[in-house]
Amino acid sequence: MRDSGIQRTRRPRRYRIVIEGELSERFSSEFEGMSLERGRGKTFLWGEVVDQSHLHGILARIQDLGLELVSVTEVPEESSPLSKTPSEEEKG
Amino acid sequence: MDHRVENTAIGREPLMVTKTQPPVLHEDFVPRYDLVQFLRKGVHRKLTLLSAPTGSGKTMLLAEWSAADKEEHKFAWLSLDRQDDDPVRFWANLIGSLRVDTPDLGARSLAALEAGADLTKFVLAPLVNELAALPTKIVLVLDDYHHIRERGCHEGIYFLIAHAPHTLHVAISTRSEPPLPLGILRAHGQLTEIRGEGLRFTSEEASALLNEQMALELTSDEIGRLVERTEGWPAGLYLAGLSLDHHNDRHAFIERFAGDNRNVVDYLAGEAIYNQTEDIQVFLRRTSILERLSGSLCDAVLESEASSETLRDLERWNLFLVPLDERREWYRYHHLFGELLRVELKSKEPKLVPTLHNRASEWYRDSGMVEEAIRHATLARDVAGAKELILRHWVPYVNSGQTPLVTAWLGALPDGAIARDPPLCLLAAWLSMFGGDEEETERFLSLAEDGHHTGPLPDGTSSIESGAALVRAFSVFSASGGSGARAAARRAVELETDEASPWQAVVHLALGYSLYWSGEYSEARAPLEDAARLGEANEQPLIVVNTLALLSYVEHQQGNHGLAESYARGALEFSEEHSLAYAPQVGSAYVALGKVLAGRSKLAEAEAHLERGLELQREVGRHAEIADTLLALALVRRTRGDTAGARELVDEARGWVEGCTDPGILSTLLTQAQRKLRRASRQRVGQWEELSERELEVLRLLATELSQREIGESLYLSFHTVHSHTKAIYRKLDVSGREAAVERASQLGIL
Repeated sequence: MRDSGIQRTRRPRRYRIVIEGELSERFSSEFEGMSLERGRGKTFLWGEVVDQSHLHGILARIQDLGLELVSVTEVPEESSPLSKTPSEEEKG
Repeated sequence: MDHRVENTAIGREPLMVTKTQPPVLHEDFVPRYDLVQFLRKGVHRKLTLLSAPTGSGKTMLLAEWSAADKEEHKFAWLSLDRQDDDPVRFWANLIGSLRVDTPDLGARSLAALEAGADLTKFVLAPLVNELAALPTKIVLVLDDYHHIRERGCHEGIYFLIAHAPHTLHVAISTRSEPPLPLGILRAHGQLTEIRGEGLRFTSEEASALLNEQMALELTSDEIGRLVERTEGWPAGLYLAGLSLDHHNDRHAFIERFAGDNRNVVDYLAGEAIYNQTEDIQVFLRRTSILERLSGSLCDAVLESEASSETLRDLERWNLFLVPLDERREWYRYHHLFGELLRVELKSKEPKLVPTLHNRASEWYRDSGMVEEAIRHATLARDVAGAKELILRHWVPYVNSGQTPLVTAWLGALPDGAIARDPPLCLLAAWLSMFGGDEEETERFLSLAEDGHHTGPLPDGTSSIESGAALVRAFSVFSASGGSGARAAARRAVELETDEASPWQAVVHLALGYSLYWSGEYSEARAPLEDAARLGEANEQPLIVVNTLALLSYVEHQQGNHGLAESYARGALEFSEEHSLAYAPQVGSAYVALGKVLAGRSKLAEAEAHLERGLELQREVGRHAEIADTLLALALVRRTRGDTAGARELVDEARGWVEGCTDPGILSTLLTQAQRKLRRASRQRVGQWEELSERELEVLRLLATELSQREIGESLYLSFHTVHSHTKAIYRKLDVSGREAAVERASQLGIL
């Protein structure tokens, strides 16, 4: 229910972060609040990012762990982690 | 056991020698001559930047360079960590690390830094001058600069680099590009850069590592495939080598590895870890919570006894353990390996993590290393333990300019921890008061008082009531006004009766302060004299300086100028003797002397002192003091003929006064000053021969673009008449030209 007043909290966004190589189960609790899926030689972190600080925290973790960051994309609610974004579809 | 060095002390903790030495090079490391050559060639430039992902060998390369060229230059080394992301600490450690040959280098800069003085003017500029006078070049290595995010640090580093004398070369290693204006340095040929690409192992280097150092006997084809799969990433090749050591069929391993989709880091690190015995695996993952490892510390964390031996073994087996000193007392894990071990720990034994941190915290606490103890207690979510340490130790940190660190300590506690704890609320109130946030201060004070805490506090305050009264005593211009502050101060004096407690002097100063700023000048004398006496007895130089300055203000108000001068000079001398000359809290000493000198008509000197005092006071941000100083300075400026300048200052003072909830005597001071300024301007014009009506008319038109002839036409005067009026105007204003006449007339308020 939307009230007409000022929305004080921004709706959290869903992000999909792609890392090079497939990560084992060991890493599943490493990225707070994100789920981990693997496929096609990449790892997909996927979930709700509370705010900028949370997002940068995840990116810093990735850097600390020596992982190679491939992409960071905001995704609409309904998509699944492995589906391609529209621009990826174009590139094929 | 001495694991600290009396190198540089900030707050309470000396700088660990392990932060200021390059890691010891392992005998089996792969030398990279061509890269060292490349670095050498850049030493005459201002900056070397190694910007590459973890595991690229940046630190090793810099360590190699510093070993190779140690006869050529002095290498100053600073290993940065997250805790260094704080301007005061960062610069203190940096100055400490520069003391390779000269134990006193940057002593004044350090004092200024601790006192909170302006970074560029009083810390860096003098440091640059000292560096310029050195006989040999210093190469300053800042390792792991990516931990630094504070803008103050970046701006300062850029200043240092931009103004570096030829005796200083800065080399930075980082995982992410620092926000420095690198483009400018590049354009001027002042930057040597090596990025991830440049650090990749070639097949030759991989061969040197795998076949020569690790004796694996791989074919060049196999080496090629490893290089390809890891993309020449040094850490990857190293991990691969470690795994290969454990596999009989190397070819099969390489085939599998090359064809696998798994992330390189994950795959190889997993191998490296699981190839170890169970005991070693336990050691590795449980000690991963530590940023630095020693035998004693590990024993405490693991509740075992043989850690020193294990560490030596791990070093020998090349398991990513980097020795931090020649004596092999301290080590750290290679950053990447440490991270992966932490992942392992969280994955295998998540419930054990808080316990491990607790044990580490205890060890640090017993070794007197407060900051580490607090960090681990917080990570252990041991609020009681962290709280005790914070409350016991915060005062010297605040006194040495590290209020942000104390704020960070509180910030790291779990939500709601502060609100539930009255002593923590009181500390939060102090911090809010320093930050000038009235609302927050009162909020925390109420929380503290409602909390039913009885008895003394870990920092020596005798009770919550006493502490709260003291905070309120300094808030003369908040909602409860002067009377509220005075009452609070009296209460605090009643409650702090232990003469040996450092808080005694503070409460008397607070009382004197609240009386003075409420306009009760003569009553302020006695408590201030007490505060000075107690402060000196208890070795609290900041208290003494502040008190003497206030006593000078009191005597100045009462017309005892001789005594006022002697107090003011006393305050300044004391601050010099105790290296506090740059402390913001000492601003009032300069102002006190400035006021005295103004009274003696020594205007130039008065202005200089008042300006200096104002600069320092702005850093502390206390309304009353700044407004008062602005008014004193305005008066001096006006008397020296600068009307516009004086007006600006009065406007600013009014802003400060209006910003007070209860301005009290400040409004009176403001009105009085405005009156004095009007009188001063009238006096000034009186010194000049007054201009006649006609002359005034001509003068107004001289301020326009009209020629003298056109002025005559406009006023129905002949050119000749206008010309004589003009000459008379010039004579009376003591100028020799039209522009000067207009300027002087503006200054005097005639125009």
